[in-house]
This record gives sequence, structure tokens and C-alpha cells, in this order.
Amino acid sequence: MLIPCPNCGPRAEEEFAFGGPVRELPPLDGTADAKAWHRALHGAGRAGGALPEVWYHHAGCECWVTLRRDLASHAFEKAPT
Amino acid sequence: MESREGNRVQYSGAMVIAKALGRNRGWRPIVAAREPNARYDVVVIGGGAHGLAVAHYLAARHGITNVAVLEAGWIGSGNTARNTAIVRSDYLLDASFRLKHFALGLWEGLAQELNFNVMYSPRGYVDLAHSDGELEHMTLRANAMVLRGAEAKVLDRAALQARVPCLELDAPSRYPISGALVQEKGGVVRHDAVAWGFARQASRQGVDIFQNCPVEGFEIAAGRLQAVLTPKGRIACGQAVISVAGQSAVLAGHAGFELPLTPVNVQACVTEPVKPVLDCVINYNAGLSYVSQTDKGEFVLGGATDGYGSQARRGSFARLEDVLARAAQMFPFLSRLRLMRHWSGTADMTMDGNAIIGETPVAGLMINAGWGYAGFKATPAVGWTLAERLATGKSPDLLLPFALERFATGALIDDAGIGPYPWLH
Amino acid sequence: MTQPFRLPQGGLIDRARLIHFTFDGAPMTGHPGDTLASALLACGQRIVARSLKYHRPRGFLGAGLEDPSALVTVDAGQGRIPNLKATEVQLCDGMIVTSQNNWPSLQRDVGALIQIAGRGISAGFYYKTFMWPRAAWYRWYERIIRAIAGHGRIDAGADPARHDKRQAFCEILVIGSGPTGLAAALTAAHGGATTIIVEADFLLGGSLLWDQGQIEGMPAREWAEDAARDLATLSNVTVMPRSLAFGHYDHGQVLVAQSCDAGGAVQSVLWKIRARRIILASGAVERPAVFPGNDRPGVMLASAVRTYLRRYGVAPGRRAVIAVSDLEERRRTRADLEAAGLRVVAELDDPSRISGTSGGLIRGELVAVRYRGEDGKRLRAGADLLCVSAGWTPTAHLAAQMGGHLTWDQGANCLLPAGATGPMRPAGGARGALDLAGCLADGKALAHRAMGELELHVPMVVPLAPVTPQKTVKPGTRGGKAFVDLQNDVTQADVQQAVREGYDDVELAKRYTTLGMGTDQGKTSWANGIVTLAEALGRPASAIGHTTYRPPYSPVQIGTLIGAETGTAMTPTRRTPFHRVFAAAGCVFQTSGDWLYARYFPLAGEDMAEAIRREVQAVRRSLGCVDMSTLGKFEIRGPDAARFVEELYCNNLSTLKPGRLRYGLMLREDGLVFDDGTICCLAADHYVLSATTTRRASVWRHLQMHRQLRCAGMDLVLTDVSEQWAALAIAGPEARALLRALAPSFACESADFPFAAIRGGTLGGDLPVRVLSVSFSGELSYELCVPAGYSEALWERVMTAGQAWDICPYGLEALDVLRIEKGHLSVGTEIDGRRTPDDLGLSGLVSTKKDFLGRALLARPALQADGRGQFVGLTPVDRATALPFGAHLSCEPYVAGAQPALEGHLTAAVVSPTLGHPIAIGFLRNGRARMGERLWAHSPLAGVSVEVEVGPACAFDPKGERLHG
Repeated sequence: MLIPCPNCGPRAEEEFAFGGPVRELPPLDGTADAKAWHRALHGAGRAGGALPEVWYHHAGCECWVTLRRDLASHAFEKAPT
Repeated sequence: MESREGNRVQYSGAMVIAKALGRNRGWRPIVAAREPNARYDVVVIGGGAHGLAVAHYLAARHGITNVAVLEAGWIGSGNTARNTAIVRSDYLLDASFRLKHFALGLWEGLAQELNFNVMYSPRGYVDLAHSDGELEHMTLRANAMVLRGAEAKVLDRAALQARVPCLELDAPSRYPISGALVQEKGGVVRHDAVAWGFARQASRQGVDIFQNCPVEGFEIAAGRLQAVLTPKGRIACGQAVISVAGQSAVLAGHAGFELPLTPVNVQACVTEPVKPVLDCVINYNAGLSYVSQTDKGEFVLGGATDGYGSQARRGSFARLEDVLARAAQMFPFLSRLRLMRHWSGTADMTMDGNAIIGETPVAGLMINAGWGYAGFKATPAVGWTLAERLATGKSPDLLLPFALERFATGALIDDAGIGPYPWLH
Repeated sequence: MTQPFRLPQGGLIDRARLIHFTFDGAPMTGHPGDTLASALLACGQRIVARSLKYHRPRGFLGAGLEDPSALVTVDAGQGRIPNLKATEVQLCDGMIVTSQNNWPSLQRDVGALIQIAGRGISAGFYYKTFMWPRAAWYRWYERIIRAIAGHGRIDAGADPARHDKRQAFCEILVIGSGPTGLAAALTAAHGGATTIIVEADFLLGGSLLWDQGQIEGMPAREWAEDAARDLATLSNVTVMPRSLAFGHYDHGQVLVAQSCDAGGAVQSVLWKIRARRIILASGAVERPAVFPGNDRPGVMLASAVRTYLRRYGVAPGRRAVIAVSDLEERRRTRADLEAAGLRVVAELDDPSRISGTSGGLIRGELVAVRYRGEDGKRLRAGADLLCVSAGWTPTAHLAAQMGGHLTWDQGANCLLPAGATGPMRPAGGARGALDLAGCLADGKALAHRAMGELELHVPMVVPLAPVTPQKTVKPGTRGGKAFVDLQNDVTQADVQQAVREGYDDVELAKRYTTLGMGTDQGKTSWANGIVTLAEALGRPASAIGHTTYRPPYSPVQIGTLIGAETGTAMTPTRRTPFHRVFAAAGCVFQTSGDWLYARYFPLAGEDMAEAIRREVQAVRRSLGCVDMSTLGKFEIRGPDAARFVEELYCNNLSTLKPGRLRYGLMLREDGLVFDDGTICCLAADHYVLSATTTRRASVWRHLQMHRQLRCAGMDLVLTDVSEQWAALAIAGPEARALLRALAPSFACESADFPFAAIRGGTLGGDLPVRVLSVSFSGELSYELCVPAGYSEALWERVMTAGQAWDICPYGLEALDVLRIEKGHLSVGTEIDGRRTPDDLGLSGLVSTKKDFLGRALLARPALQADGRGQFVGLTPVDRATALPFGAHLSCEPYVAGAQPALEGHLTAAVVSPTLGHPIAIGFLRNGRARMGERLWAHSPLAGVSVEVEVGPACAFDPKGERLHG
């Protein structure tokens, strides 16, 4: 894949580490219990279509970037032409 | 039902000759062609090896034959067709080991049980260690296997060389090999034949199998499953089981619940066929690469997942380069051979890397998912235990640890200790 | 030595030079410009192989990559490479070529007797037999089948050839250099696009090299030469002959295997080309016909015959029958044959009129063709060459590999690709435009369109060429073996039987019959396979679909795919800043993950066990030093640094004061222990965290993720400083004495520099240092951290000053023994991704006063339940019997074959040099409540079962008094 890093431009997938689908984890303020965390962490089973994911550009800007990608076609929403 | 009559044919050498004398015109379909009933006791969603095994054991062990298997493509068209056909049970964790070891026992007699040669070939599974520390951990695993009634041994370098003469142990290598765990009952099974054998036998016992019949939705009333919706219409059912590997999240979505898994790519490849050199399955652990040689002479190789979510059924070439480089460390002659084909499958990987089997939030709807790249070896055990669950309403002990609720309770089965990052398992 | 079938003139060969090679030991010759196939044919070698299943004699069906059956083993000086198609091998001097899959010889192959089994070995017979008695499959049948199967043999030795990899980028990549490819490349190149054109052949031109035709008033072949010269002069074009584009991957990546000149630095280069647009000008492959005996040597694709005649100046026979469905091609085939002086004895407009072929008695090569005349009469023509064609199949593999579905077009009678798959645009023959004018127009039009899309020029409306209609050719139906797939010996009857047995999906039929699963990947067989399936099912061919196209398009040598990354260069090796001085000190290193670690430092004549014992004793009695540089070191600065660190670790850190450090435990989101390390507080807004070597990269990612995605609002800077520091820990009762001798710029007596404190300054007035009083060995210990460039200076001073106390450098092994004696944890053994802090005996560290990552899910019931494995120490009851590593614990002595209830297992076992008896650590169910209990440690593998007593994990100095010196 050629991953469109918003900071560095399109780069080869070997430069990135995948961090999974975007998960809305509860804040660390002591309010959320195991149930809330369970739902947030484990309820990320995906059902196709373009969904937001996070990638770590370790060989580039060292940023975790959020990108939307279609799992079936690997097409990124802002794909390079 | 002409075809169902034909299905009664018992395969044998004599039968093959008899049919040959009739110019091979007397063969009948392995799966009877029928229109669906309005209602089934059990609907199995997914006509891969797992789903077909469930159907077979429902009929064979529990006499439940009002069963339909609904397959979106052709039978065995998912990971059954794409795996590297390895069977083994060399696991440390009790739950992992027991289910796969039970399967290994069933593989041994499966050809006779199904009257279909699935070609179980216990040619030995050899798992390489790259340091004394790894060898110690393999000893821990092997001891666990022996103490639970399996056979296993740990070989030092000299014994390993004797066991696998063509393995390169002496050339300078980035990750020297210090020894190996060997399970001689491990080996390979002809993967496609497993789907066909279960399908044929299930069909012979009265199970209906429909291909090109995807499930597009569920009819659920008061939290209980009523029917599945297909292009062939509404099919009412007492119970249903989802057994669709890479499509699990989609089907769960239709039924209104989420599963703790991510689909990932697992790649495999095959070389041109050559005369036999390698007589075991061997696994290189410093960056995964597993290798065996088929009866046709091809080397089949596989590796780790691509490391990111995917349902594309095609992978990145970088992963394949890793797999090939490591295979050539074991067998330098491989670099002369030519790669003939590479492919990939969608593995549904869970957040502890182990399968989810059992109840779902919808009453009457079971799930068998999250097998990652470990599903093939467990096929008959899944069929056996899940059929028992469906028939008796009670989960066999072998299945209990694999319940979906374990992610809520924390009773995880994480063989690799990787945690809730499916793409890293 | 003679070449009886070489035509007196013609061909793109250098007749002035002879190339010598051998085939099955017989000396033969050819010319530069020949392929192995054309040279063999010129020498009259019409049979070159035996088929996979039936061992039938096989010759050449094609002239290029599509050939299914002319597989040979070639040794060109770099060892034997099996299964090469003779049609794809460029002839070289000294080649040793051998035939495969026959015994005792190619001419008389005993294996052919298998044909006696006839229909008994039809499709899938092995699934129905070989099942009795149970286990006989593996013991007998499979062994026999394995011995019979396979094509060539593989040399056991490594490949001496070198291979390499390169990257390339371009705007327009053109795959193929026939009329379409050349037209596209010229258009793109003259339009100013950076262009790469790849061609699998060693000459550019594709079909122009052998087909008749005129372009711009000159013969096609000359036009091709002109075009190639033109491209070579342009600076924005890279021309790559002998380069097979074999795979199409995500986002415009095409992989190309390039063969290099013999004697060069490398034998091949794997190119990874990323292109913004890809014009697939890979042409079309001619479709053979299905009729009984269609596999005989002498039956050849019409295009192959014309290639041998016109490109190589070789006559593939003397008397020819033409059976070509297309009128124009029939005319050209006859013209080419007659121009070369061959006799055409019959001409058929439909190959399905052929009812059979006859072969020579001994060799089986073609001697006659039986067919039905116009009036239905049965006729027979003596011929040694049968030129067949049932039309053309577009080569759209690379488009289909990326999921582009092909559809069967009734008019064109073949599978056609969609207009675009991602950045790929099939053109010319690859999309079914088969005539010369159409190919030229298509190449040009698609290049213009691509440049328009890339905004290299204004978008232009350029029409594409029409798809060429083709006639339907039905497979023959008479008796005898009519092959659909020549390589895997799949017959029409096999396919029909598969359908009868219910394997009626195209994928099922493929798998059941093995149709198209050979090394040719079905290039000549799939079109006929689909037609045969359609006929057997009574459905239109358009309803059949196709199997998935997978890379590589044609087999590629694995050496090429691996490249130069072999042996010790497979992955980079990381060495610590002390590597050079350690090596000089006689260190034995060990590979672990990325790193080469110091394992132990043997003295002359010492073995590993002795060295480890000496190193451990030195640390316990006096002084040792060990490399800690591989630990991760992450710096956090800013007003919110403390808050950030609090979130990441489960420890209570509010009491951690500047200048002090604390052992910290980091949990995963799911509450299980992820890593351990030290948290150093340098100032209220300045922390340094350490991570274990194993988890270094993943901890850094974890920190970055937490910082960037969850604490974006926090005011802090996170920096990985692991590479900036070299760290050497000095440990032992004399550690303080040594530190004193190193002349630090700070006070180092116990009251001034207590345990778990940090000091910064210099050693000896000039060596900048940060010292942490922290211990993994349990002894008084200081971690001396210096800027990485000063590592050798530090080593020098430590070793010189340390002489007074006999300082002993120690390695990983002694480090491990020391920590086992102390019951300290190690990532990978105890911290294995399945443990809670409480399992590890560290629940005391977990803060109840704050929130942190992992807190919520750590509260899950199964993680808090009774009965979990807890970290304990174990000692043999007799204080003497060594404990086997990898042992499991149970309450009963071991009885062979029994399956005792397992209570836990050992994670490490050593004979403690300090205590003088064996000890172990491990996990035991409810272990902490079972102190003093006696259990058995079983290792059936070692044949040992030892009675052990449960104790605390820490076996030595449980109160930790030695830490303070």
C-alpha cells in the first residue's frame, strides 16, 4: 500500500505500524468502569466500508495519523492519484 | 430424488473401477440439489469446513438431519481453500491444546468416517527454536503436551539434523537454530477434500447444502432468532450458527451485535513442484515462515499476518519477502526454485488471538468465529463440539473457555500474550 | 551438431556465431537470438518432456511464456534450475539441459505404463481410494505418490548467484512492447511523461517480431526496431527488456523481475515500480483447441509456428495441417509456411473438425491428422506439424490480480477486463483489440488519456479501438484423450466428470481436476476450461466466471524475490556501544531479536557454565559490570509530564521526588502487565522512563499513541533518547568503592546517594555521566549512563579502576542467574502478556488513589478471581537434585502415561552459585497461600520428577539488605 501520510505525503506501508480502528476510550478520570472500557476496547468488530484507523509513521514524522480506508479495496479516502 | 440416491455410493477402489468401466458417466453429485424447506431445526451459516463439519456431526452423532448449510459462494471457498493445511496441537495453554488435540484424534479416522480420502498425513510438525531460552520454553510446551496425554519431543541440533536432513544448520545465519519441538502426529490434511468430504457425508445423511446463498439478514423477535433471510427467501429455524470466518463481523452486524475482532490478511504461497525433499512441516520462528512439501511436489509456505486490518484477500508483497527469506535460511536450495502462486485469506483475529465459540446476545444464534489462522486444524473438533452444543443445549467442557463473554470477564486465552491488538497476533 | 530444421535464411538470429549446449547429454547448437526451444527445434528435438500424470511425450505447444509442457532442467553454470519452460530460456553457451520426470529415459519412460489404468485414474480418483486399511495412506500410498509426482529435481546446495532489489517511480508504466506497448510508450514519452516500458522478452517488439504487416509504410519488424531506437534516445524513458512484470499490488505498485547479463554483478534484479498510471499492453495468448490427441509433439499454436519460422528461422516440421478458426490468421499461417518451403497438406477453418491424431510408434510424435472434410467425410492427412488456433485470450492477468473481474464477452468469445482497475488500463490485445491497427490506436489513445488524467496535458477525447469479434470453437467430443490442460494432464472427460460429481463451480472444478493449477497457471487452458464447463453445464460461458488470478503472472525464481538479504544479512544486526570493547575482551555474543548481546566472558579454558558461575560469584562477592545500553530510554519534559507518567503507570507516583527513581509497572489497556522499568524523576517537569529491550519499540509506540491521541492537550515533549546513552551497570559489594574511585563530581556515600536515587555530573572531572542507583542483581549497584560516544572511555575507566576489586564483566547468562536468585521478573518469561500485577506479587504497587491505563479492565472478575497462578520460588526438598527447566507442577509424583492435574509451571531453574543448591521460580495456583507446601516438578521430556518446596520468589537476601551496601 501507499499510505497518504498527512504530514509526509504518500509513503510505502513498510514505514508504518498499524494501530487498529479508532477506538473511543473513556477518559482516565476514574469515572469509567470495566463495562464501559469493555465496550470501548472490545466492541470494535468492523463490518466493512471505509472506517477510520490509526497508523504510526515510525519511519517518517513519528505521528499517529488517522485515516479512513476501505478494508475490501484498501482504498484510502484521500488516495493519491 | 435421483441425486440423493446417487449419493449413497460408497467410495472404494472397486467402485472407481466399476465407474471407469462405465466411462465415468455413473457418478452423481456429492451434494444433493434441492429447494430449501420452509423451516430447519438448525441452519448453519457458512459452508466452509467448520460449518460442514457441524452439519455432519449433527446428523451423524445426534440424528438431527433437518439441517441446512447456507454458503455464500461455493463450499470451502473461504479459508478452507486458502490455508496451508497444517494440523497440530502443540499449545501451552490448556484450552487451546485440548480442542486442537481432540481434533487431531478425529483427523486420524476422518477418511474412514467420511468415506472420503482427506489424506491426513502425520509427517511431523517441527517448530524451530533460535536460542537456548526458546528451547527451554519449547520444553515447557512439550512437557505440557505429554502431561496432557499427547506425544512431543524436543530435539537438540544433532537430533534435529537427523530428523530433517535437508535443513541447513551450519551456514552463517542471522538467527541460528538451537533445536526444535517435534510433534510427530502433526502434519497436513488435504484442505479442499475436508470440505468436500464433510459436505458429501452430511448430504448423504439428509442435510441440505445451498451454495451461492448468502445470508442477508436475521429475523429476531424478543431477542430470539426466528429465521434467516436469503436470496432463496426466508428460512425459519430453531437455531442457527454463524461460521463464516472473515465475514463474521458483517454477519454479527446483521444480528445487531459486535465481536471483539479485526479481519486481517494471512498470506501463503506455493513453488513449482519438484521431486520430494522435505518430509515434515517445519516452522521458522524468528519472523514466521512455515514450510511443507505437498504430495504433488510443491513447497507450500506461509507466514504471519500482514499486520493490519484487511478483507481484500490479497496481501502486501513485503510480508512475502520475509516469509521467503526465512524459508531460504532453512533450505537454501529454495532460492533456485520458482514461486508459482501466492494468495491470501481473511482471518478474523480476536483480541486474545483465540476463537469465539458459543452463545451470542441473540437467543438461538450461535457463533463460531475468530479462528485467525488456527482454524483449519481444529475443524473436526469444532464440528463435533458445536454439534453437541446445538443438539443438547449444553456446551461441552472443551468449548466452555471459548465463550464470547470471556472478554467481559477477563478469562482470556492468549497463547502469545499479545493482548487486545488482533493485527499483531 | 547440425541443425536440420534451420531454414536457410531469415530470423532475428546471428548465424555467424554458434552456441553450444547439450540436451540429455547430446551436444547441440544454436545461434545468438535463439531461445532454448527454437534451438532444440532447429536440431530436430521435438519431444522434450513427459507429462505430469500420464507421462505422455510432450513437445512445444507455444513459443513463449504461455507454453504449458516443455519443462526442462537447465544448468547455466549456477546449478540446476528445474521446471524452466524451454520457450522462455534465452540460449547461452555451455548450457546443460536435461529432461525431467522420466525413467530410464525421455524416449522410453516406464512411467507411461500408468496409462494402462485408463479411466480408473480419472479426476479425483485419489479422494475415493487409498483409504484402507486406516493409516495406510501415510504409510504406503502417499509415499508412492510422492515419489511419482513432481517435475524436476532440485540441487541440494545453495544458489551461488547474487540477486538485488531496486525501487523505481514513474508517471506512466507500460507493460509489454508489442504494437500497443510501443505506441503507448512513444506517445507517453513524447508527451513528456516519465515513462518506463518493461518487456519480458530480450527483444522489444512482441508480435511485431514475427507477424506480417506494415506500419507507416514499413514492415512491422523494422518499425519496432525504429521505435525501440527512438525510445532509447529519450531521457525521460527507461527501457527494460528481459523484465517480467509479474505482480500488481495496491496503489500502483508493479513488481518486475529483471534478468541480467551473465557474468554481471547480479543475476537478477527485483524492481518495485510505483507508477501513477499503468498501461497493460501484455497482448493476448493464442487458444489451442480441444480434440483427441491434441497433446502430441507436433501440435502447435499457429502463432508459435509463425514465430519459429519468422523470428528464429526454424521449421517446426515439414508437412503441415492448418486448423485455424480465424480467416486472416489462417491465410497468414499458410503464407508463412509456404514462404519457408513447408508443405501445407490440409487447411481446416475449424479445429473441432479434427477427430484425432496419430503418433509415431516409438516416440509418439505427430505423424498424421484425422479430420472430417467439408462434406463430413473422414479424412487422414500425413503431417508432422499441426498448426491450431481457436482464437485469442487477452492477457489481463495483472488487471485481474487486483480484483478486477473479467467478463466473458459473447462476441469476442473470451474473457475481457474492465476498462480500469485502479491506475491500470488494459490496452490492445489485453482488452481484446487484436488487429494491428487497433493495437497501435489503443496504445496511443490510452497513453493520451493517462496523461490527461495526470494533467500532463489537457484531457483529450481519443476513441479506443473496437474489441475484435472472434468465432466460437466448440471442443471436440470424440473418444480418446482430449486435453484441456496439457501441463496437469486434465482432459475434457475429467472436467465433465467433475461437473457430474457436483464440482460445478469453476473454482471447485479447478481444485477437483487441478485444471490450471500448473506452473503455466493455465495460460493456454482456462479459455477452453470455461467453454468445456459451460458445455457440460448447459450454460453460457458468460455464466461460468473465472478463478482468481494470483501473482506471479509467470513463475519467478525465489532467489530474485529474496534479493541480497540472505544469511547473516537477512535483517540488520544491532550492536551496543560496548560491542567493540567486549569483543576485544573475549565476549561470547548471543543473538536475541535485533541485538547481539554479551552472553558471557569466558577465560581461557573455561566453558559456559564455569564462566557463568564465576561471573555470578564475582558480583555477589566483589564487583561486576554489565551492559544496560539496550534498554529503551524515553524522556518527557513539560508542565504536564508528571500527569502523563501517572496515566501510563499503575504505581502511585505522587510521592516520587526529583532526583529519585522508582520501579514502575506499565499495563495494557486491558489491565494485564505490559512492561516494567524505572521511572526517573529528574525534575518536577522532567522524567526519563526505561523500557525493556524486548518491548522497547512497542512501549515507544504506546507512549506516542497515548500522548498524541489521548493526551493531545497536555503540555509536554516526548523524546526517544535510547540511542543517545551508553549504560554500564556496576554491581557488587564494592560498587560504591569503584564509584568513589571514578571520582564523581557528586557525593556518593550511602547517606548522600541512597538506593533509588539519581545523580548527574562528571566522572574524573571530564566524563559527563548520569548515575542511577538501581539494581537487577540485588547487590549494591549503579547504572552509569554516559553519552553513547563516550562508551569506550567509560569502559576504560571502569575496568582500570575496577582492577583493585577484580572487576568482572558479566553477560546475559549471569544477569539471568542473579535475577532468578532474587526472584526478579523478566519480560517474556514471567511477564508473558497474561499476568496481572497481583499474579506477579506486585499488587502493592498498584495505586488505588488515581486512574491509569488498564485500571478499569484489571477489575474484571476473572483477573481478580481465586485460583490464578501466582509467582513463587521453588527449591528441591533434598536441596540437591537439579530442577529440570520447562517443568510443570502437580501434587503427585509422576507416573508415566498419567495425566496429573497441573498446578503451575517453572519459568526458570538454575543451580544457584550463591546458595549452592538448585532453585527455580514459576507460577503456582494460589501460590502465595501455599508457602512450605511440597509439590512435584515434572519434566517427562527429561524423565525427571523432583519433589519441591514452595517458597517466596526471592531466594537470596529476601530483606534486600545488600542493596544498600
